[in-house]
Amino acid sequence: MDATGKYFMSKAIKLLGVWACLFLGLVVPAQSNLDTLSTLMLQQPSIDVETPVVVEAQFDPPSIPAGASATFRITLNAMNESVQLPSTLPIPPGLDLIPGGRGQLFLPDGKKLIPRTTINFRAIAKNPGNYTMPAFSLTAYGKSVVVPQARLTVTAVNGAAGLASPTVIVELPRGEFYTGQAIPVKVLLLDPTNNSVQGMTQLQIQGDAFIMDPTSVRQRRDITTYNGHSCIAMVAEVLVTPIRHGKNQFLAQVNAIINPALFGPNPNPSLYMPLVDSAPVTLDVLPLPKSGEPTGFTGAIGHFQLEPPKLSSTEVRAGDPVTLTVTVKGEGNISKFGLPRPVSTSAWQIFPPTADAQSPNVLPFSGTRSFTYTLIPLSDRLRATPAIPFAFFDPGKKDFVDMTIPPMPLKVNPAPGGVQPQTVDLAPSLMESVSESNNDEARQPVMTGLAETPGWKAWSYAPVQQRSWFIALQILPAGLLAGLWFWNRHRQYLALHPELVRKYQAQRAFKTHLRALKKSVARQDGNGFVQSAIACLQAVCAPSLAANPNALVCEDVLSALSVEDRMGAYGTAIRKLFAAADSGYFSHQSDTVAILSLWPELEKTLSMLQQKLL
Amino acid sequence: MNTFLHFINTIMFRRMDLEHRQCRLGAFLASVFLPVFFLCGHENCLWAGTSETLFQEGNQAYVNGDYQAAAQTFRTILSHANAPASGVLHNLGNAEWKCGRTGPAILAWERANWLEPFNANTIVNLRFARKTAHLEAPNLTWYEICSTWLPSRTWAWLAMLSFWGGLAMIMLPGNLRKRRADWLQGVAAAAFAVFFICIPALAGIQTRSSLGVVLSDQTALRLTPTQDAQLLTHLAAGEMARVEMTRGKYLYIRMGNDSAGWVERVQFGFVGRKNPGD
Repeated sequence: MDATGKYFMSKAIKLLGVWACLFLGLVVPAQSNLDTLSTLMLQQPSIDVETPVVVEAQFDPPSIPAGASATFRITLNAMNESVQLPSTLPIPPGLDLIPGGRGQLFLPDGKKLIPRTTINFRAIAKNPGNYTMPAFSLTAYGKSVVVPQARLTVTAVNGAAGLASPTVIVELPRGEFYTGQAIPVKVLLLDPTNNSVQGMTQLQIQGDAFIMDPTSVRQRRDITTYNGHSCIAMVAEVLVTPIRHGKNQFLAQVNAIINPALFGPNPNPSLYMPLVDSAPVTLDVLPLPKSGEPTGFTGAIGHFQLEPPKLSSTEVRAGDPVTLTVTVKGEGNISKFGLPRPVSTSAWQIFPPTADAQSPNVLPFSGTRSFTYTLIPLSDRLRATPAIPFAFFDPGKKDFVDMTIPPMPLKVNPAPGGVQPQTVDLAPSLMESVSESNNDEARQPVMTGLAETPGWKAWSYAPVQQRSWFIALQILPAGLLAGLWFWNRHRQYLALHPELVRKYQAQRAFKTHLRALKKSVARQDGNGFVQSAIACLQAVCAPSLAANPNALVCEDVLSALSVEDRMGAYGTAIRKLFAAADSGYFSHQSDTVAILSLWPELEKTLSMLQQKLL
Repeated sequence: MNTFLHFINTIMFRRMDLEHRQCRLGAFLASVFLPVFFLCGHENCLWAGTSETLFQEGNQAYVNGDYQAAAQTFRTILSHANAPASGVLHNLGNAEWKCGRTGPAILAWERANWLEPFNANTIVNLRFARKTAHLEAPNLTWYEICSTWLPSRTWAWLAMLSFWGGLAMIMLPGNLRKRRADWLQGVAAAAFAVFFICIPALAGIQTRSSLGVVLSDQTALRLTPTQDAQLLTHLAAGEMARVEMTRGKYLYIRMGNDSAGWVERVQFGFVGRKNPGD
């Protein structure tokens, strides 16, 4: 390189240095601002989803006696969620394949993590022979991938066979199991050669009616007996909680950590972690008894004991808080049950209990659990803390056991100045939550007893307003009110037209007197005839004269007639009648025959006058 | 017409004095209210004799733990007496629940509550059953809640009496030529206020009468009213729904979560109507 070249090279190096400083000045502070989680994420190796998918299939073990089971295991380097099996597998005749476990591992490969999905089937053949599972296709990442064929040799049964491959078995405790109960399940991974299994990982319980507590897994290496042979096993204890009553199935699956130098096929000499599963286990789960559930039951199932509660102080002033620490020990779902809620009273302000997080003895299945109540006495007359209802269900006794937290003696001194303390306002939400939850518990519905009397009766369930008779019944009051209204209108009309009233009254009086008149004629009663005839004439003439009928005299009656009639026979008859009446009034003697002879003219006169009334 | 008017006038003019008019007011009120009281009282007459004996027998069977017999006895009372009683329905619900029949138990309690909404025991039993069977109570509108304050049939009688009573308080003084007293006006206003309160309650009763209970567990909710219809979902016994229409032997129901479909009539029991099996 000449001098010019060295000059330009040194310039280029300086320029590069300036750019490098600028870059570091901009980028490095920015990186320092990233939060820890983002930094951690950036440091994680990426998952390899680009490498072509390679599928392996094998029977494990490849040779079994008739009636025994082998695992048909499909392994491929793809994400579990992306793998889809065909709806039906090409299973050779005589071989049964039962779906088993399914899991995924991530194996490190340099800067990347390789997903490794395993799908297990339990293969059972009753007859000896060679069975070939033909190649078939499955879908991974949306692409079709071929599963190679696999062979299984089934030999005749020849005595008790030992273990040919790592096997998982499940051991359950004795007794009955209830919904919500934490069941300690023992999962054993049996070592076929006593030293090939180095451990196990990814323990899972598969079953839609069970929940596994992953924090409860405890592993150890132990010696156990299988089919009369002693063998070494990896033992894992885990808490399984059934969430549905009835007969439910589950199986356990683990990834066995195998020493490849000692056992099994050797796809990767450094790491061999096959997925091994157990045979399905059927569990008959019982529901908790519906009746007799005590108030203080908060889901505790097992066998528990209560240690003596501890008060922070045995003497307190009204209004000052005191803490009550309760410790429960025993076996069961000790870390899972709800803390018992105190019953709300007006004499105490009670805050919700808090679990003691620092308690070193809380174990998943057995141990102790402590929780603390903060109580504030609101009266100096209190002599003990309130009893707090608590109960658990004992599967051994098959019944609820009352374990109410007993009252603790406490001396409450009067508040300063003798003022009765009020409920503290600092945590109203807490107070409400306690009282509401306590009220809810107190209001836990229970089925009531029988009614002692038949109670209220009805004709039908249908609403009354939908019944036709009810609609028809409305006609009655409507008709009555309408009739009353019409009656009143008519009465007002008559009040405005008094001539009509007089006419109606005259008609009625006329008919009455006419009947009497006809009777007098029939009896040949002269005096009666005269009286009735005059009364008839007065009644029939009264409306036209607007006068009282009894006040009318002969001239008044004659004025109701026309001039011709007045001077003719009708007028003459009327005059004779009134004259006969006058003479009879003074002399008490009358010519009956002469008077009654007036009847024909009188009848015509009355009928003529009656026409005016209509 | 003349004869009729004459008859009216004859009556009117023969009894013109005040004493007679007061008698007529009493007769008018009696003619309105006596039939109502008679009809109300007649309900109790329908329920007597053998039904009372059967009721005690049913209670005794329940106490003895023979829940099947108790339920059958209570059903017999309801079918023979032809007059449902709230106490019988309450006890029938208890017996059905003990027999493990959730749907009929809730239907019986709902009917008891329909007849006698003040019975706290029935309300508690309904709450208990729904909590145990994980069922939801029906969503009621505000006027339906209003209608639960009194027995279903009481609202109709109350509306009738308040309306016609209020109208009578307004009409009678004028028609009987009496002074419109303040207290009469007050009574009329109160009666009409009661009537207007009754209107939403009556609407609530009307809509609540379409409520019913799913009787059988795993009742199929179908897309169409046919036997081979597509299955939408299965309903749990004791769930409540509203019937929106009927077609043949199928009912179109709407659940509380707004899912709707057709169910067979025999798998559904109306609360406020007579069912085929009653």
